[in-house]
Amino acid sequence: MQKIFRAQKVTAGIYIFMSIVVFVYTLVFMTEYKDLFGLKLQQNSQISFFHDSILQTFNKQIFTFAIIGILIIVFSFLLEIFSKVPDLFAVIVLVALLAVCCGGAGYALNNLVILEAFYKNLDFQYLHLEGLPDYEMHFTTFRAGLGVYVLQIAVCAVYGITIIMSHVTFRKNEKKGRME
Amino acid sequence: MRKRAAGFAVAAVMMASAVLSGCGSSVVDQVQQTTAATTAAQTQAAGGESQTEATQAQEKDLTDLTDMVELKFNFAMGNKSRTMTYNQESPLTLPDGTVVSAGMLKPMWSYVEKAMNSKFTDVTVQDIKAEDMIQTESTSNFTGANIYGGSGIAEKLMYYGTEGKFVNLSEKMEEGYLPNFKAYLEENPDVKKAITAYDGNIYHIPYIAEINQIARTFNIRGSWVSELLDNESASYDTADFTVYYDGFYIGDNKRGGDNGGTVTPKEGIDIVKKSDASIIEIQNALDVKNGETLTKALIQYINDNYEYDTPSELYLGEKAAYDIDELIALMRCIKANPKYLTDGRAETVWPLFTRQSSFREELLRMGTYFDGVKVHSADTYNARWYVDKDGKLQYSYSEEGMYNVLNYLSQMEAEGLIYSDCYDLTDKANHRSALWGTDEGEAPSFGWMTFDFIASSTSDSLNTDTVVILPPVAKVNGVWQYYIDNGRAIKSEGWSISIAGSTDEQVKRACAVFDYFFTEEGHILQNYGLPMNLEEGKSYLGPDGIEYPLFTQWIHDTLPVANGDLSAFLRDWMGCLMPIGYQKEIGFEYQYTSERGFDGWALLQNSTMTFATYAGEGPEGDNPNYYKMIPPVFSLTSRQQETLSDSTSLSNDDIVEYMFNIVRYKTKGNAPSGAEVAQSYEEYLAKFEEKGLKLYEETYQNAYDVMTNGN
Amino acid sequence: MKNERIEMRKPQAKNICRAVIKDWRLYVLLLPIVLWFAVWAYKPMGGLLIAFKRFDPQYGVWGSEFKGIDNFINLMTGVNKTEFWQAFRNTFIISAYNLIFGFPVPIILALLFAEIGNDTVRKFAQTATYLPHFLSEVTITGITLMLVYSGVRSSGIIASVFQQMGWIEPGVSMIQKANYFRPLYIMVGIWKESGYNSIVYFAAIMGISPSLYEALKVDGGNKFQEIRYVTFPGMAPTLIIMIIMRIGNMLTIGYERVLLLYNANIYVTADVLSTFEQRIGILSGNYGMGAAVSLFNSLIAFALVIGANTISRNISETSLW
Repeated sequence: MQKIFRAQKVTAGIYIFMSIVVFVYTLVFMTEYKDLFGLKLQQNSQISFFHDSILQTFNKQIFTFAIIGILIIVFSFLLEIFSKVPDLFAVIVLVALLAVCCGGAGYALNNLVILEAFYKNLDFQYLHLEGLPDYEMHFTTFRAGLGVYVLQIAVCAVYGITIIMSHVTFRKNEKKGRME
Repeated sequence: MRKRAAGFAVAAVMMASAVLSGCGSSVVDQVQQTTAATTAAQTQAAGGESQTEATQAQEKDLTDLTDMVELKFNFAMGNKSRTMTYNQESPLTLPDGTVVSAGMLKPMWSYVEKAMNSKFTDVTVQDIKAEDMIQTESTSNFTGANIYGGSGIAEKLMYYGTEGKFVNLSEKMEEGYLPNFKAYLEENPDVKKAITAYDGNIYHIPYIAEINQIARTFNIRGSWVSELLDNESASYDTADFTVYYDGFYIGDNKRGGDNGGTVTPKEGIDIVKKSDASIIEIQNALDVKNGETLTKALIQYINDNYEYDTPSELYLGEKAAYDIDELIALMRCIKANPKYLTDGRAETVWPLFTRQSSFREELLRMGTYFDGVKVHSADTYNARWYVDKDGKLQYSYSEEGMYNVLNYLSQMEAEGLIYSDCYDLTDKANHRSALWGTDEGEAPSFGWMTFDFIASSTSDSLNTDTVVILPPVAKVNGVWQYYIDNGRAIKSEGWSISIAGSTDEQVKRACAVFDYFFTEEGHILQNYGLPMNLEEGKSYLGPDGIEYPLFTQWIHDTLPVANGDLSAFLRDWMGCLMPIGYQKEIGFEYQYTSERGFDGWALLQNSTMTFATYAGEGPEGDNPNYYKMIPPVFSLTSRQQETLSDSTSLSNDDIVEYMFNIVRYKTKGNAPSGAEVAQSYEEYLAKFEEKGLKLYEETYQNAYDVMTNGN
Repeated sequence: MKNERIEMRKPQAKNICRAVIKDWRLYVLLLPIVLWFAVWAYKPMGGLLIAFKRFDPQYGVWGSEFKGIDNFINLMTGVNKTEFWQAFRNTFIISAYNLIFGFPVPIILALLFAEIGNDTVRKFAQTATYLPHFLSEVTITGITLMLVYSGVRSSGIIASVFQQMGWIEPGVSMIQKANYFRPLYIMVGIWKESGYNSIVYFAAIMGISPSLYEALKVDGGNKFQEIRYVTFPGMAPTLIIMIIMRIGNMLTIGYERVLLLYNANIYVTADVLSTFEQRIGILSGNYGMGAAVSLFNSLIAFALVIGANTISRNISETSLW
């Protein structure tokens, strides 16, 4: 039980770190591709559509998931994960939120691939006419996102399973009348 | 066992996530579906609407006012006295007995309401500033009213128009609405260009001041010049005077011969300067400098160099031919003779001042007379652009010429020629009233010259000694001429029609209301007032030879409620002259100008003086675009707006403070700690570059190109 | 590793319900303030998103486009960076001045009030000192500006005195000189607030048992020893809480007074984060950057409060939480 309880605290700590990484990644992603906007002249409709409609929708979605991830941190403290074994209520709440977080990360993973493909096909050559410097495409953030969200899924899964195991083990030991 | 189970569980969760993440539509699909649905709905609605509209337009006369339509107005002026609603403490009784009391529409708006068979409701929060109003209303998609407008928001009206919030007036004109406004734009293509947004459409009608008329001029106390220069038995002051100004027409730039030796203030009158002597050098070389020596030197200089009957003619009247150095020389004489000029009532006088501290940038207009440095052509301090000979926009404040002008002003300031309280923006006092209007008071203050509007500056209630003079003659655009770089402009006020806030009927009626002010009847109503306020069958002959409507005696008798200010009475009591979309006429201003003011108008109109206009006509010189006024408002895309707000900070007023620090402190070297004073042009320019000058110019250049070329 | 005692979290729902039902009157009393906080302090937190957005009022907070941390990057490294860091520095400096010069004055006042034997005199003195608190900032700064004004036609009393002493030139207003701003700001703050702030300390002093003073007198202690050994230790919890709160508010200079006193010429010493935020965010219409300044401000303040509270908890037994 001691080991599982320690694992619970450790995984909670890793989860907090990972959530912050995801939140920061979300902000970095938005910052990286913010410069595609506002070219509201007729010949820029493709890029305008990508930035104004597709990217902004995606930004809102991943930001929402990142906030849910941060909420889980708040709940972790409120539900005393760092000091006590979670009761059933805590387990249900946290596992549900972690499942949503997992799902969100999976959704983001899938869409990152699609968005990267869409982005690759955009034509920035018209920018010469605007007197703007040549725009260079950059894909690093898309690829970094893949790693971040895979890790997020893994950490959510481990965290969820750890607290379930912690709760189940505690109950079993309670019945048996011993705490090891 | 347990560890294996845990490991399998983790792997299961990850696989489930991966599988589930593939389910459901991607964000691209979602957006494409949403966009397709929205476009289909809009097309259907538009198709239906345009069909209905086309049919209805065929069936109905576009100007049909049979049906009563309600229109809500949200026109914010930042001052409850200036809205459509009557907010004065005492009711107003009109000549026909109608009593207008607080809460009612002002008389002009009641008249228009009847003429348009409409019901007008003013939903403005009465004291709200227009900027705040438009920001607030944008959050509700402008559904709170049918017509929106106010002061200083033309750029916002254009922007929200391009965002689809305001009715496209260009389309309406194509459909046959707004015929009078359309005709007006055809006659005034410069106005059309100035108000067309970057997408090629017009979304607002601006308040158009009396374009092609001069705005401000030089106004002085006339008698001081005569007393100083023409009085042979004058007892001048003898207190010491310290000089700092070195002169402009000196060295290689001496004025004389081919370089401005002969100037023509009026057709048929040539004034010749006999030598290239510099009065500033003469005064600076005096062993003793005081009121007496400086003035006598100036008188001698005038007698030696000009053929005038009296020395004051160099400055006063239609033969004036003074340049900037001669003006400064006179200012020195004025500064050095306070007791003589005020009959001992003052120890100090101020040769040059501005009406208020917030008008301090008027001082910069002296730059025109230092070889034609461009400052603001339009009568607004935000007009800091001019077009160079290559057709490129230049930011006037960052030019080397401007820096040099600041240095000259600094030397003038060091000599005490500029009223020191003009710089302090926290000082809200009216300096013109203080320096011209307190002569008979217990604690009088005395000023001499200001650059301001003729009507108010020559008002009898202010001072009966003020007169208009010609501007200094200068080499402007490579040509020696009389020029004032200050024309009346298309303002950044106006109004638009909300799409979301209006039904079709309301849009049409609003168009009719907008167009009304471009008919003869609406034009006179907005400029002069109700028909009962004008003498029937009579007119007023302006100094320009044009006949204007004549106010009745009732107007003059009722003026005391507004402290004699006709403009304030018509705006705040009657509801005219509000900065809605209309063309202002100068005939109203003539009617409250004093005799001296008329003399001033006549002096300027009969002279060879030119001024900035949108058409940009003037004597051919180095720059074919020199005389062209740039509209004060540009239509900027989101990208351009964000570039300006994120990457530049030239719109902030601290750059002006930086410029005036040079004026206040550079010559004397007495800058207080914390005040930056640029010691060289490189340092000065570096400050502008630090604030993003290059990007600022590029962005506005792009917007200007769209405005002028439509691409 | 030591084996720690492991407990399961106890379900709280029933306990909470029981506590609320038992003391429902207290919770009813608490409800308005909770609602007030919920509506005015917590709900607006959603607006923090503006700091990460290209905010356009027509689209609202959620509808505006995201731009990540671009506002923060522009703020700290862009065209406004000099002004931002200047405002940041000024905020700390003025707060530090407030702490060093402004913080002790109410304490000294409270000590002095406690020594006044005559009730009537004490009440009059207290009322006179805390009346300026009830005047608006506009009135106070208006009076201040009049006192320090130096123009062509007239000068204020303080400006005239300074001109006579040769400290300033005629015609140059003190408020135009950067090095006068901070002392002026602090002195106006002391004049306005120290009387009112002394109430808390006076209450703390009144809460000290008189027997302690008697015991000190019996031991032969003088007035200074009384203050040092009885009064200050008795006030310590209050003092520490007030210091923690003051430190937490280090980045919150009330912008009204600065706004009314400052001008573009003295930004170098007068511009603080709140006025910078007002200029950038509201006057220039760059709401995103204004929100970024505000969020940055709040995060630093948050860290300061946590730090101060932790230190206080470790050093003394007193802390906010």
